[in-house]
Amino acid sequence: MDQLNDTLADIFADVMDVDPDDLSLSTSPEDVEAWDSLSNVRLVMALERQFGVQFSTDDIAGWTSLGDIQASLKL
Amino acid sequence: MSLRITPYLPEHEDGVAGLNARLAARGVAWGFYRKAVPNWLPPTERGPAETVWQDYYVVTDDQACRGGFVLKPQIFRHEGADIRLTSWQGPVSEGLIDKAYVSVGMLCLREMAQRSENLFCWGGSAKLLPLVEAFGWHRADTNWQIAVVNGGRFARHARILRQRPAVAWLMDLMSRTGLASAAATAWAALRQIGCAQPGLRAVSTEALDERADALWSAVRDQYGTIAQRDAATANRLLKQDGWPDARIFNVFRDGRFIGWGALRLSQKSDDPRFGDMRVGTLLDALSEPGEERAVLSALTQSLRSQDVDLIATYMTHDVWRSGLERLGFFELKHRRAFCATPQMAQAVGGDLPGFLSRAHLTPIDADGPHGI
Repeated sequence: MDQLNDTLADIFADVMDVDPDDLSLSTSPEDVEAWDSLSNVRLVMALERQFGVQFSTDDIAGWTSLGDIQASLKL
Repeated sequence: MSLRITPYLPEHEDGVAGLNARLAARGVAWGFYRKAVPNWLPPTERGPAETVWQDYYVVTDDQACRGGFVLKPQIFRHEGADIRLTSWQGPVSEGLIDKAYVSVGMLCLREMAQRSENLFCWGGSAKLLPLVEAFGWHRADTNWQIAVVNGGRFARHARILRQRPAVAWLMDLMSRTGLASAAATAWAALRQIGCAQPGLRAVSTEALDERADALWSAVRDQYGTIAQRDAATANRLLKQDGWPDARIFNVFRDGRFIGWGALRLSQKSDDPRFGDMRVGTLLDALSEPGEERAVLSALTQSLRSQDVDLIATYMTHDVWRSGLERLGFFELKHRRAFCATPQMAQAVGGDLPGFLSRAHLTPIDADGPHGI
């Protein structure tokens, strides 16, 4: 895993209303103004719908960046 | 980061104090409970055989605490059968002030839903409601009921209604001219015409007894849904030596027991809703069928005689709301959201507004009379 998955980037950009080209594996909540508790829920719901997965508590608890989310999705 | 959700133990109290201090330093007005053992409804040795109790949970990150929530499992009577429904309170989350913890709120809500099949919240904060809706959980709004006793003080201090400058100006004018007092008195008198309830008496008691048990057995299936209110459970909910500082009354008509209720008096100070008013709260009530208004009348009379400025409550059942309305209470619409997981909504028939109109829920239900 060395670059951000396009589908993940598009979903994230749509939920957070940011440019997908500005995103990387190291993007964290501190880097994105709109990434708060509410948008985080919307992101998780959108990802679970799109990828047909159910994230575990351990998955979500360990996220500090988009790279962690991508790792949970095994993309 | 190693977030973990765990039952709140005494060894977490320092961590919770740290969380509360960080939240307060950033201007967040609320925090989590300082003590690991609930002051209200602690777990008992009866365990799951108990009818109602509270469990506290915290979110830890190594030694630090990053959040917390409360679950309150309770036996309800629903459509003639016992069912356990669980209300939640919170979550409190460090995500409010530190973006590294934006997942804490969601983790808490998911953990709650995993721990409790039928989960609901009644009276969640403005910050919680969008989270709940983002999850796709269900929501219906319920109302407050208030009766103005001292019109002048109500007009000056009812911040709950004074949020618009024009309304605040008008209420100040009514207070200065005496119109507010006159209107409150006239309204109360008008509502009493033809509604006289002779022979009623509310008698203070330390605890409910076998009369409350008999009443519970007689009425529990009259409601679509009602939280268990046998004497032991009600006495536990309305503990006399702790929060919520309730006073229990048996109500009699011509010497015959017709129901009971619980009241609370509180002198507010710079309260965001009630300013400096003296507020009487109808915490709970149960009556023989057809005696709802009589019980409410006896209880509100007891509060009026204690010089309150305002009487407030929130009840959901149509008959109790009608009784309050006949006694001169106004309804403040959409003041208290009822949220439920899809499983809970399905368990109660899928139609939350219809469920609520047939459910006798009172301020002692859910997380109790916070903020009133």
